[in-house]
Parts: sequence; C-alpha cells; structure tokens
Amino acid sequence: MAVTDKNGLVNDNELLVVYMPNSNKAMVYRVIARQNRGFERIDYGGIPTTAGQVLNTYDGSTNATGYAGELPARSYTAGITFPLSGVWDSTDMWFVPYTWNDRVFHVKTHITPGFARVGMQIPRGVNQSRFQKERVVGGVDQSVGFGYNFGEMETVHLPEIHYGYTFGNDTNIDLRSGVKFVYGEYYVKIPNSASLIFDVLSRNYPAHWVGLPVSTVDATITQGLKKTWGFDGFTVYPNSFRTNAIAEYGAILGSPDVTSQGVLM
Amino acid sequence: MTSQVFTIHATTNTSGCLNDGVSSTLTQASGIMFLTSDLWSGNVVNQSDALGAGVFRIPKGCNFKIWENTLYGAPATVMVQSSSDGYGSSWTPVKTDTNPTVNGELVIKHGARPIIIQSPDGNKAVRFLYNVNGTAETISGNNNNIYADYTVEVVESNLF
Repeated sequence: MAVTDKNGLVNDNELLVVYMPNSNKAMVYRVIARQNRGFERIDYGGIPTTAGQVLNTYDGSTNATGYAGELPARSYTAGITFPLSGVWDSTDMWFVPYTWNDRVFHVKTHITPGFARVGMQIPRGVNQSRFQKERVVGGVDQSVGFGYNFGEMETVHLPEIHYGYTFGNDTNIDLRSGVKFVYGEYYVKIPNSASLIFDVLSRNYPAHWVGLPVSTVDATITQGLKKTWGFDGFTVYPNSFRTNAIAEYGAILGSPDVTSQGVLM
Repeated sequence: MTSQVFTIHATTNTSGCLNDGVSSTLTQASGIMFLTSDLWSGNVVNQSDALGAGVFRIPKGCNFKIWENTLYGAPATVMVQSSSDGYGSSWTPVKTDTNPTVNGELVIKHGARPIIIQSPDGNKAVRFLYNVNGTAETISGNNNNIYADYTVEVVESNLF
C-alpha cells in the first residue's frame, strides 16, 4: 500500500519524516490517524493582505494594495501568517503550542494565479534561502531567481514555531489572489524503536519525507523541538553506521526528556 | 508547479469594460489594446505602467503560451508583439490575425503547438495591437469596437 494518498498526504498508520538540512536531523512520526480524513481542503480566500497595505517592490520602491487579498504589481510580501478566528492563535492558523505534541500539520499550499511566487520562512522573519553556503541570498523578494516556487508549496508545521509565508508578483499587473490548502491534521506518535528509526532514515523502510527549507541553525527551531518532544531530531546516518546510530537513537528514546513527554509509541 | 491558464480579453474599448453593451465608437485606426482578465483587479492593466495600458509582463522563469484566440470586429487585424530587448523595447511581432468578415468572428486554435514566448530574465512582455483595415469608422458590430479573446497559459519554463 502506498505511504501517501492521492493528495500526497500520509495515510493512516504510515510514517512521516520531517528532515532539517541545517542540522542533518529528522523527526520521525507515525501517523496514527488523520483528523480531517475525507475533507482535506480549505479554500482560504485571498492572501492575507489588507486594503492599503504597503509592500516593497522589485524595483526598489513601494506599492499599496487596492483591496484585501490583492498582490500588487511588482510587489512581494514579508513573511505573513494566515489569521483565522477560533484557532489557538488567531493570527496564525497553523500555530499550536508545545503542549500539542500529538499533532503536526502537513500542508500543501496552492495560490492562484499559479505564476505567483511562494516562499517560506522558518521561523517567520528568517530567510533561509542561500546559494553556495552563505554567499548569495535567495527568496521571493530577490531578483536573482531562486529560493521560491511558482504557485505551490509543501511543508509540515511543527508546534511552537511560527512559519512565515512569502508571496511575490513580478508582473506589472495587480493580481487577484486565491489560496487553497490541502492539508492533513495528523495525530502522531514517535516510534519507540531505534532500529525502525534507523531503517526509516536510511531509506530502507517506506516513509514520506518532507524537507524543511532551513539552511542555517536557528535557536527557535531547536528550542521548539526540544520543548515539544524533548529532543531536536535524530541525526541521519548512512547504512554503514547502523550499530552506532541505533545506540544513539536508543539513548534519545530512553532519555527522561523524551519519555516524560508521553510522545512515544 | 501549477501552470495558470486564463483568458486575456483585449479590447479597444477605452473604458476597459467587459460589457459588450458599451456604445463608445472606435475613433483611432490603430493602437495598443487594453487588457482585462478575471486574474487582475480593476478590469484594466495598471494604468501607471510606464508603457501605458495593454502590456503584460511575463514572470521571470516562465513561458507565456497562446493556445487559441477569437477575434471580433471587422475588418481588423490584431497583432501580438513581444519585447525582444529588455522590458518594453524592440517590439517583435509574434502572431497576426486578420478578421475580414463583417459582423463575423475569427477563431484560431493552435492545437498541440501553442505560440510560446519565453521570459528567462523576467524582462519579456507581450502587447496586443489593433489595426483597422480601413478607417476607424468602418468597424462593424460589437458597438464599433474590436475585441480579441486569448486563451493563454503561464507556466514554469522547464515544463512543456
């Protein structure tokens, strides 16, 4: 059976890997169940810009939105979150606190028009896009041409971290925007098996991998992971490191910081 | 990535309105057409653009494809041009359609081979020019205006 369904979301009782390139560490989750099974779409509406909001342009000036949800000509946004009433943090619908360590949100964001740029800041306000180590900065706001996608983006929202979505329009036209989320609210546990963790991270056991676009070590991410699950990830090793890796993973799984969180299964 | 298929409604109607019931009469025999679409706000291209109305700048790293178009108003010619040397300079013809039929419409479909304009550096733009094959007052139908509907697609350039 496939690990993911037709929407690219992880099926029940399959494994999800969230990989962080900056640290070569990964979180491994078993998706116990998907809370929103059968209803995976949120038609959010326009991007959360407000009428009269001033955005920077690729030409070094500014441009103001004509109405809420507009992406003005030649403009890009800073890292923004999606407000929603009734959620834990009404300014950010994807944010949950560290006490929600049984939940992760697997989110695929689609924007229309499909030629709008979409980028990600993890955490919000930190541009992680780099080329040749730290030499060249990329991102939605840059004219260099990397560090963003067109029209869609996939990520996994972890507790205790605000992610910043960035959008850009390098045409000369004020665009009407529309955002759709295809998401899974997963009830998760961390597998309490060091050998299984190794088999997953060495690609010998099927799982769905999502890499977070993080290129630099940021304390917010490390602290968020430790606060939520008691550790900041399993180091990814090659096959030849099996014995040492399993011993290391076992120590993590058996540590009081992790066992006290009640996150293992 | 997600490509975007949409319709560009090129018009000589200076109010930029999509309503074909507008009664304004074409007075210029040639010029740049205004562009409207459901994708952008306000029904007209940003009037503050340095090149004036009627220009669509293709996003960097994308291709602009013309799949089919319909021309209303005759006798008239509509020409699609792309800028070939930086944004907004050295306009080059890309396709030209002539509708000779009074009170008729001209439908052109490109099938599996769309017209493609590439914008690797983000400085390419397209514009739509009209030319009345006669005097402006000879346009018949459509309240004496020329309309051209283009089904286009903007797609990331490495996807064909």
